[in-house]
Amino acid sequence: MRISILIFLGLILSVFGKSQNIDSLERALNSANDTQTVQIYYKLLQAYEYSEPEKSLDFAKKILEHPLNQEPYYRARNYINLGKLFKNLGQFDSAVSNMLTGIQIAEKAGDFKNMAMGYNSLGLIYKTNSDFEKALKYYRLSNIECTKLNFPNGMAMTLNNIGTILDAMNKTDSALVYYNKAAKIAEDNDLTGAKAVSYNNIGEVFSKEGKDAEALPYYYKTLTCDSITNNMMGMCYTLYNISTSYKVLGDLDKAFEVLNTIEPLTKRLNSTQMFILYERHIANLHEEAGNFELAYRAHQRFKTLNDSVYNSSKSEQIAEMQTKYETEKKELEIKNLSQENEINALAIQRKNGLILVGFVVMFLILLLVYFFVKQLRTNQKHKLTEAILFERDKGIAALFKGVEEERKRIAQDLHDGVGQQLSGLKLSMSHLQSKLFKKDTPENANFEILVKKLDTTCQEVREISHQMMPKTLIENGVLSAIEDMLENTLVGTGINYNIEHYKLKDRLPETIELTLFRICQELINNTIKHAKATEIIVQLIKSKKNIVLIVEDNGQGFDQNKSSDGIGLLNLTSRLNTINGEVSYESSPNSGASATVRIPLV
Amino acid sequence: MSKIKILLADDHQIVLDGLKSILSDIPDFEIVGAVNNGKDAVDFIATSHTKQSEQKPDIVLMDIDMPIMNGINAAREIKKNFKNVRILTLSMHNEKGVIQTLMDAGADGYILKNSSKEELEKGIRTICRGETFFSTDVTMSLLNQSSEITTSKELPEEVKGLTEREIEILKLVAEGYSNKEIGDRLFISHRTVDTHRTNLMKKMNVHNVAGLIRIALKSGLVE
Repeated sequence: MRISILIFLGLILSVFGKSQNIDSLERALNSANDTQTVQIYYKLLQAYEYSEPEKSLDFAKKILEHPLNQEPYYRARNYINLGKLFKNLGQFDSAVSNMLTGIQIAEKAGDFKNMAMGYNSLGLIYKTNSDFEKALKYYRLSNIECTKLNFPNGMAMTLNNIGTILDAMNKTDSALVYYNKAAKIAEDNDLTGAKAVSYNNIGEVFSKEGKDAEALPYYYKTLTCDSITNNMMGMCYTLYNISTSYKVLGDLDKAFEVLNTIEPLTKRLNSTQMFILYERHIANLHEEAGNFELAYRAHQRFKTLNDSVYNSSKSEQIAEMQTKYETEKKELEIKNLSQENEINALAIQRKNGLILVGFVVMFLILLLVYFFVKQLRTNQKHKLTEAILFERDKGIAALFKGVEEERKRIAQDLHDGVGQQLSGLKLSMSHLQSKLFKKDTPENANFEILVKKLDTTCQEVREISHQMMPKTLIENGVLSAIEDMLENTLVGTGINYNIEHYKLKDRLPETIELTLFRICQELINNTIKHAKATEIIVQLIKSKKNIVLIVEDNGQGFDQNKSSDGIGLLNLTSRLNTINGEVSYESSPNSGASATVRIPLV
Repeated sequence: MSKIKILLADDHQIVLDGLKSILSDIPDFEIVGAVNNGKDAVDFIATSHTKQSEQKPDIVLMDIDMPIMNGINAAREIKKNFKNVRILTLSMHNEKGVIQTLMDAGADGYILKNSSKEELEKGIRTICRGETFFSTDVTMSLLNQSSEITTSKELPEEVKGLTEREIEILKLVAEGYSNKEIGDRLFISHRTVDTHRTNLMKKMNVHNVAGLIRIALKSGLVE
C-alpha cells in the first residue's frame, strides 16, 4: 500500500521535473526571465519539498502569484500543489481549502485533468486522516474524470487507490475487484508502472489473507515490471514480499535465496532505511530457521542501525521540539507579558473605574445624607410644631376646664351660699315687716322698698349663678341647657326661636356638652347683637360619628370676606380645637346666616 | 276644717327659719316638721304614717339641692310610697330642664324661693286642692318646648326626585360638613357644592339650611 502511494506521488511530482542543485538554481534565478523564473520556482519547490517544507510553501505561493500563472489551468494546478504542501506540513484544513479552490477553478474551466488530480489529492488527504468515506468519494470522482479524459494511467491509479481504501475498510473482495480492474487497464495500455502497482496490491491482499501461494505469482509479475522501469526500491520491496511469502509457506531456502538477491540492490541504493529492512528480514528468517546466533547478530545490526536512525531522527525531533518549545516559551512569555500589560491596563482602568464609582457612590451617599438630614429636620420641625400645637391645645383645654370648674364652683357658692342666705333673709324680712308695721304706713312702705331691693339682689345672684354654670346643664344635659338659655336670653328681644334635635336622648361627654353650650350661647349673643333677625333655629343632631349644632337666623347675614372674628368667636374656635371640632359659617343676604359646628364623637 | 300640715325640707337653716316665720302666720297652716335633707324628709313621712299620728304631713315644701338625698330623688321616693302627700318644690332655679325632671319625679308644683308670702300661700293652697302649681316665671318656661325630629317611615316626597349626587351632598350637609369639606371629599369644587345646595333647596322647597337638614334627618340619611 505504502509503496503504491509513494509511487503515485512520484508520478505526480515528476510533472515538475527532477530536482537539481539548489544553489545553482538560486543563482540562476538572478539572471532568469519570467518564464525561467517560474520554472526555477517549481524546481526549488520540489527541492525543498521534504527538507524544508516552509520554504517550499513560499515558492508555491510565489508561483501562484506569478503573472504568468494566472490562466485557470495553472492557477488550478498551483492551488492543488499548495494543498499538497500543506498536507505534508500536517495542516489539513489549509490543504483541503486550497485543494477545493483549485478544483473549483478547474471545474469552472472544464479542466478535467486538474479536476482528476485535485480529487485524487483530496482523496489522499482524507485517507491520511482515516476519513475513508470521503477518501473513497474523491477517489471515485477522480476516477470518473480520468475515464472522461480517457487517461488510462490515471484510471488505473485511481482504481488502485479505490482498492486501497476498500482494503483499509476490510472490504478485501471489493478491493481485489478494483485492483484487478486496474491491472486490466494497465495491461491493455501496457502501462508498466501501473501494472507493477496493481500486481503488488493484489499480491498483498492474498498475503494478508494467508494465501501466499497465490500471492507469489503477482509479486513476480511486479518484480518484472519494476525491473523494466528500473525501479530498484520497488524491486527491493517486492523481493522482501516474495521472501516473506516463502517463509510463510515454509520454504526457507527459497526465502534466503531471494534475500541474497536483495543485498546488492540494497547496497546500490545505499539507503539506511533499506539496510534496516534488510537486517530485520535476515533476523526474522534466521530466527525462523533456528539459527539463533545469526538471528541475534542480525538483530544486533538491525538494532544499531535502527537506533542510529531513530536517534538521529529523534535528536532532530528533539532539536526541533526544543526550538518549537523555546519559540512557544518566548511566545508564551510575550503573551504573558502582553497579558500582564493588559491586566495592568485593565487593573488601572478598573481602579479608575472604581475611583469614579467610589466618587459617585460617595456623592450619592452625601446627597442621601443631606436629604435625610433635611427630611429629619423637617420632620422634627413638624413634630415640634405639632407638639407645640398639641401642648397649646392641651393648655387651652386645661384652661377651659379650669375656668369651667371655677365657674361651676362659684356658681354653686353663689347659688347655695349667698343665694340661699339672701332668700332666707328675704323671707324673714317679709315676715318681720308684717309683724312690725301696719299696712299703709310710711314705715311699711319704706320697709317694702328694702325687701324689694333684697329680692332684686337675690334675683341677680341667681342670674349670675345661672350664667356662670346653668344647673340644668349639669343635671339635664346640653339640650335642656340650650333650651333654657334660649328662653332666658331671647325673652323680650322679639326673636322667636325654634329648637330641634335628633337622636339626642343620651347625655354626651361633659366637655362636649359644655363646649356646645358655650358656643351656642356665643352664637345666640352674636345674633341678638348683629343679625337683626326675627327668628332663630337651633338644631342639635347626633349621628354615628358626629355631634352637629346648627344655629341659623333669618337676619341680614354677614360679609363672609369681612372675617371679624370677635373675641367670642375666637374663643369659640380655640375651644373647639381642643376637642377636634370644626365650625363653619354661611351667609346669604336673603336667608340670613348659619353657623355649623361639628364635633367628632371619638 | 283641719289645718294644712306642712313639712319643710331645706339644708339652709336661714331658709327654714324664714319659711317657718312666714307660714306660721297663716292660721290654717301647721308646720309639722323641718328637716335638712331629702332622706330625712322621706323618713319623717314614713314614721308619721306608721304612727297614725296627727303629724302626717299633707304637703312637703322641699328644696331641690340638698345633701344626702336631693329634692328630685326624695320626691320620687315619697310619691312611690305615699301618693297622697303633695310635693311643692322650692328652688333658686328657673330652669325648664330641672322643672321637667321634677314633674317627671312626681312633684306637684314648683315655686321659687324668693317668691312673696302671697305666692307661697297660693302655691300651697293650689297644690293641696290637687292641682299643679308653678311660679309665674316658671309657667313661661314650659310653653316653649323643643321638638324632636324623627325618621319617617316613608321617604319624604321631596327626597324622591333627587339625584344620587344631591343625596350624597344632602347627607354630608346634615353631618355638619362645610361646602369646602364636602368638595374635598367628593373631589369637586366648593362652588359646585354650593350650586348643588341651591338646587336642593329649590327642589325641596325650603328656604334655609335648617329646613334642608330637617328633611335629611326625616329621610334617615343620617346614621
